[in-house]
Amino acid sequence: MLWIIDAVRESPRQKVASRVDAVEGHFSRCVIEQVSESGHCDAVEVERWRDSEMVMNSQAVARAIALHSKERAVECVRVVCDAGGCLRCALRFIPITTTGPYESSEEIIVEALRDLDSTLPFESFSAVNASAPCVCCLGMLQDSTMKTVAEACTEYVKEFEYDGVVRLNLSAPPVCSIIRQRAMEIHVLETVKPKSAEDPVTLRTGAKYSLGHAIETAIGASYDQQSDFFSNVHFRHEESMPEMEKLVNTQKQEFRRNKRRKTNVPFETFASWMDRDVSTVEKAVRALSEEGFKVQSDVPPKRCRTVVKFDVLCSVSDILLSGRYLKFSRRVSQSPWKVEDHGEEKTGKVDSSVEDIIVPKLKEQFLAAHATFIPGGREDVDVRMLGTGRPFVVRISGAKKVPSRATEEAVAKLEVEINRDGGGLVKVVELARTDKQHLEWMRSVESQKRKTYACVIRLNRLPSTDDVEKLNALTDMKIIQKTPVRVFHRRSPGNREKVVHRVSAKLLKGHYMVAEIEAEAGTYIKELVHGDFGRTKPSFQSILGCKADVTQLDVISIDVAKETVGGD
Amino acid sequence: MAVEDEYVISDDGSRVKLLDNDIEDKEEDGTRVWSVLERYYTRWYWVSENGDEDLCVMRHSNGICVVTLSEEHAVVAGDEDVTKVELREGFQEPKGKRKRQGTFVQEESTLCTVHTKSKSYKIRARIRGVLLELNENLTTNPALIKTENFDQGFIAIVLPKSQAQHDCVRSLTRRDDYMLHRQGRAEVDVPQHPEKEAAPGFG
Repeated sequence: MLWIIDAVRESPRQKVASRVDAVEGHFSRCVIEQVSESGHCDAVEVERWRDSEMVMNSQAVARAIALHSKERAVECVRVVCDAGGCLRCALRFIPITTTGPYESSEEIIVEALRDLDSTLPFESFSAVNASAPCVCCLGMLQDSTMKTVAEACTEYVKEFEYDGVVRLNLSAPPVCSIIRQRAMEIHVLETVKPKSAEDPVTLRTGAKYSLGHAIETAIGASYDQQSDFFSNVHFRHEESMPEMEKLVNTQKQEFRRNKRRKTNVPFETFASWMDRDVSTVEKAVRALSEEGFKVQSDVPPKRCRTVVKFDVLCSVSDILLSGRYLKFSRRVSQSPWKVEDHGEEKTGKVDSSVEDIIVPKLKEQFLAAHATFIPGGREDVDVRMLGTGRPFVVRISGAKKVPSRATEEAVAKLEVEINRDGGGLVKVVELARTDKQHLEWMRSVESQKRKTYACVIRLNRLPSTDDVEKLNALTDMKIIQKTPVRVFHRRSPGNREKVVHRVSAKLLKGHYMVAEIEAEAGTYIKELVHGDFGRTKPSFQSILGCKADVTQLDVISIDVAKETVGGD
Repeated sequence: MAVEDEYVISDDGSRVKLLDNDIEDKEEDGTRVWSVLERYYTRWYWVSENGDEDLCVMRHSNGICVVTLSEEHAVVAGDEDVTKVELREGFQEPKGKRKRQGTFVQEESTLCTVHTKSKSYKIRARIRGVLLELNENLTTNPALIKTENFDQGFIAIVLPKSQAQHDCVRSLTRRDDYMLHRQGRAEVDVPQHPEKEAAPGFG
């Protein structure tokens, strides 16, 4: 498996090479790639050693640390730990940018440090514990917290049917840790000489390396950015909220930029909003000079008594399935009929709905909480959908089963099941997994499609061949439709110009004729025929000079020629 | 409807074929074929003292009402031609799906004034709601209000204030009762004034 070490981005090539050396023994193969002309390196790919020696030993950790001038590194560890920081935070401020040392246990790190310098205050390392957490990460990077988080994740994962690949989302660390990070950074800059040219490793990155590793090991999954299975861990820390409040008060202009934020809201509301907006807080902190920062915050950060609290939430990302449906019944609506009070004789008109026939099966298959049916356009309950069918997408959210468990055969089987149990009212074809692009594509072409309808028309007099000719003569006729009364309750008023491309009519028995109508997307066909109180002009009624009425309507084709553009 | 099954899906499922042997014209059988108006709209009537000013409210199953003259209204039933229809002034087309900023009409609000040679009639809304549209065709073609009163000759489209069932037509009379009333067999208690509660015919 390939790991990309982000942290080495923009580092000179020899530095990258030396780092790769440092992690030797931890990785079986290292390849430097994509070195740009300026000698900067975009990424280093290393193949991970997946053996019993997966965890670095103390020598390897020591070597990794010593890579950055041993004396400075040791001094940095001493300063951070004296200020009440934990071991991994110390590593972050050196800064160690490789993952290995963070993944190692605290014991191994201590051992490695002892190898480097036996005079380090080892007793202060053990003083950092659950009741006196690290002043910088607030306990996030400590073995004890990591263990409880990993256990919580394991518990959660049990509910899911997943395939061993996970995408970890370590949510923004509590915002107050950003202040503390800055405080520690200033403290290190002032006391440790020479100054490091590199910024310290952020808490987020540190957590990704250490906590991420701990969770992966605990739930027996490997990290994969493409995975549909997420594990989200959200941290909070109430004790240091006053520090946050202080920052907000001194840096009002930074926080006011956000238009959505109302001033004078209670701080608690504000804090929860801030929890989700780390970048604003980061900006506010960065906007302060070192001196300015020292005025409003403690440097080094104040010690506290409580460890961060956390919430774990595992989830499967939304699954999209696409397909086409055909509807053979005039008593099946597209979406479930809402029982509302404002109409008469509604009951008894509808047997079922396309959504009700298709969606529950899919929901069941993925053990999902919600599923949304997104059709590409719509048709009335009494209109059949024939031909190649109408495209649709079903979005399945809150699934408990990862989609890689649903193979193509499984989806195909679903299609068969839906068609078998649909009672012949609805048929689904080409059901398959799809992605967001397809959905966007479906939505974007919705208004470009041409549709062909078959329409049985009844006149209030006997139709003649003249009438047939009149209708057949209509090519690319522009019509103006005022919002039909039929849909006026949910659409805005307006005049809509549409084009009727082609009509081919023929006589049936008695008062009836049938017409195949090809029209632009969004044309209301029923109104085109009967004129909707003269509000669609011209209409068949006005062209034929008699009352015309639609007794049956079917969609017989939706122009799909453009599907190749971006379809699945 | 007997024409229900005249289409079949051809073998490849892609086209439809027409079997035109089963279509019955029900009217020839003596059974009425329902027009689009009858299928989707329920007619309610506002009854005036002497029938001269009767109005018809066609209520679509989605709740929207189309206000028009009744067949009994003096303009429709009389012999005189309509010379002019003056639409209400101060009508603002509502905006958006939610029909904001529209003109609100009350029972007594005037929708238009119809002029014949000898008389003119004020047409009032008789229902409450947002005025969605006034039929502008009437200004250019006033005769429609008389000849096509149930179609192109409608007067206004109103979105009733209350979408609740029957609420907006509480003071109106159902079509069946209205027909009986017209035939002079008016033993049915037809409300003469909007103030009167509960029109007959509710289940």
